[in-house]
Amino acid sequence: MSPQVEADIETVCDTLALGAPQRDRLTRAVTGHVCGNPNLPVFRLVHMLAQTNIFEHPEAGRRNYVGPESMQKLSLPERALLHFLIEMDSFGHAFDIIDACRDLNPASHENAIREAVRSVVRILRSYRMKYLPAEMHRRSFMEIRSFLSCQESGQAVDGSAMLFWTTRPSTARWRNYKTAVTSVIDYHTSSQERQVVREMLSTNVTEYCREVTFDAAPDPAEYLCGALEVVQNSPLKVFTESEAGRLSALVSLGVQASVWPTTALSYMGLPPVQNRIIQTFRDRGCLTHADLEKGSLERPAPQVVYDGMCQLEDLCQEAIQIAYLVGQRLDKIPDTSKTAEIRKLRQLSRRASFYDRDDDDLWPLLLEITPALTAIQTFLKKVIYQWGECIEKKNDRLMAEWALFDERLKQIYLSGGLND
Amino acid sequence: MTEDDDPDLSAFARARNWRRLNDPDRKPAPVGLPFTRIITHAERGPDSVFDFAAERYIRANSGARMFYYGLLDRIAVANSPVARAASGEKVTERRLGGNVVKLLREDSGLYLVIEVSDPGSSGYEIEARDNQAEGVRVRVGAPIEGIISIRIDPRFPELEDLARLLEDPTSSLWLLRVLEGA
Repeated sequence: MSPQVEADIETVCDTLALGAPQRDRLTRAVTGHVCGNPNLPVFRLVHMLAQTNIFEHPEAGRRNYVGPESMQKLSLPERALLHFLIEMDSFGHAFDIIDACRDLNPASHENAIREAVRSVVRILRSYRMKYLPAEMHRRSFMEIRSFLSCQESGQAVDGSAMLFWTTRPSTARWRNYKTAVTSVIDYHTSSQERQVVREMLSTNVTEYCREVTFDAAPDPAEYLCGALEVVQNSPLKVFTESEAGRLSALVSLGVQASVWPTTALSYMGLPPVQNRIIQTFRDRGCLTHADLEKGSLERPAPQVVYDGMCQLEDLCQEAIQIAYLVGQRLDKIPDTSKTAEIRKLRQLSRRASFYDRDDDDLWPLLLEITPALTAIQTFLKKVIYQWGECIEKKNDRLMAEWALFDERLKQIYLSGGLND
Repeated sequence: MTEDDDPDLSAFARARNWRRLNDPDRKPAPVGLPFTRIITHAERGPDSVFDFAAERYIRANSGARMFYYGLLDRIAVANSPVARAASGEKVTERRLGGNVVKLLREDSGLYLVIEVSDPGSSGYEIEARDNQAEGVRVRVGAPIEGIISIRIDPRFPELEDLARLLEDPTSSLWLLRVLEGA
């Protein structure tokens, strides 16, 4: 995955001796994974360059492009980003970046700064398009989505989907479409994992356990074992037998074995925000039954919540929209048993050979998974929204909604499937 | 179609890229140098401390080398990436813009003669690099009536290297002006 980008980031981290937080920040800036405006780091950098006159060339004859002492005027994140921009792609865009910013000074008009930002963003975007696979496929994604969402074009109407695929360069189309669908399935799997852990740590999971034949045990380790078992028995289970066994073994180590949360959670591939929330649990002496009963989940830093929310929301929206469009456009399978569909989807997503399937097999596969995708869309959106809101603001109204949502989850457990 | 047309999809792609690139089990970092070191190296004056690390990096890394060459192109008075004409038996001539660099092979020894287009300058340096980025930068002094003339003294290896590179038609040359007070 993007060896060039990794190498470029590593070079900057190495030369500037960046720690993990700064590395994370630089990676976010490079990939554009920034809350709000993805171009914000570039915007900030260009403004700082204008303020510090770094690219000024005061002496005629030999120009001073930039010097080490000038760089000290920049803060570390901006310096790291500037280093990256100059050195990325084996210095391939160095002079483009310098030329875009060199005439800036504190007296520069806002329009000039904006133009410089635009130029740098354009260069960075071309770099992303060149080296980041997901960015490479964005155009294909959008073409597919526009195809799926066009209602009156006359070209793509219901029933003519096969015609669409056969009248265009089919191999590339199939590959692109497969990439899009794989992304959805990837997301679906990871969101289920997150969901399971959230439930395991939810203050209300004890009630579920009581409802679903599980008696809450006083020992946290035993409690979590039980919770895991409940999750496995529910329609939302996402782990294979061996994975569940491994998790059970980890959980049964007990809280005194401080290894288990980290190991188990990293095994499940949790995003950093949830790791931090769980770390809060651990720091407090952690995961005792009383704590869970009391429901005193310590609130993480707002920025952490916000970052996590943005990330989850981004992921969720993508899955929802593609799922919705796929479901809307393609033939729908009769709503016989959604649980079976979800299980099928789960199995498909875990099957390694899925990625190696022939293009000809993809169409039936899409037809198979479409109802399941449609079924999960509303559910996923609710989960993410409610989860974030309840952590962010603990007001009565939201807590009431949260309770409703809990009730909904309970229904899902009891009914044995996801119902719209 | 721009990125802004589909913010959700863009956000999804960005989040995934970030997550994959921020993998804690990443490989060890390759050795690199800050680009500012390369700039400082390119802008060095005759009395500056020579940065051996930057020099090694330029020779080893093609990207850094092209960046360094680009910097020289910009700060030089004139440059010649490759010889435009074959050299004779006794005279090797390279044109750098309006300036002419000649290497004369006489019985008494080798002579470097530079005809500069701006005779009023206080002094010049000349840098030459071969295909492998090995090269030398030599201060050639100020012109007298537009001519700089130096005897290639075998006791000074830099001058010998310069003569060798001037005779190599694939070598690149840059004529640099020395700033006042440098």
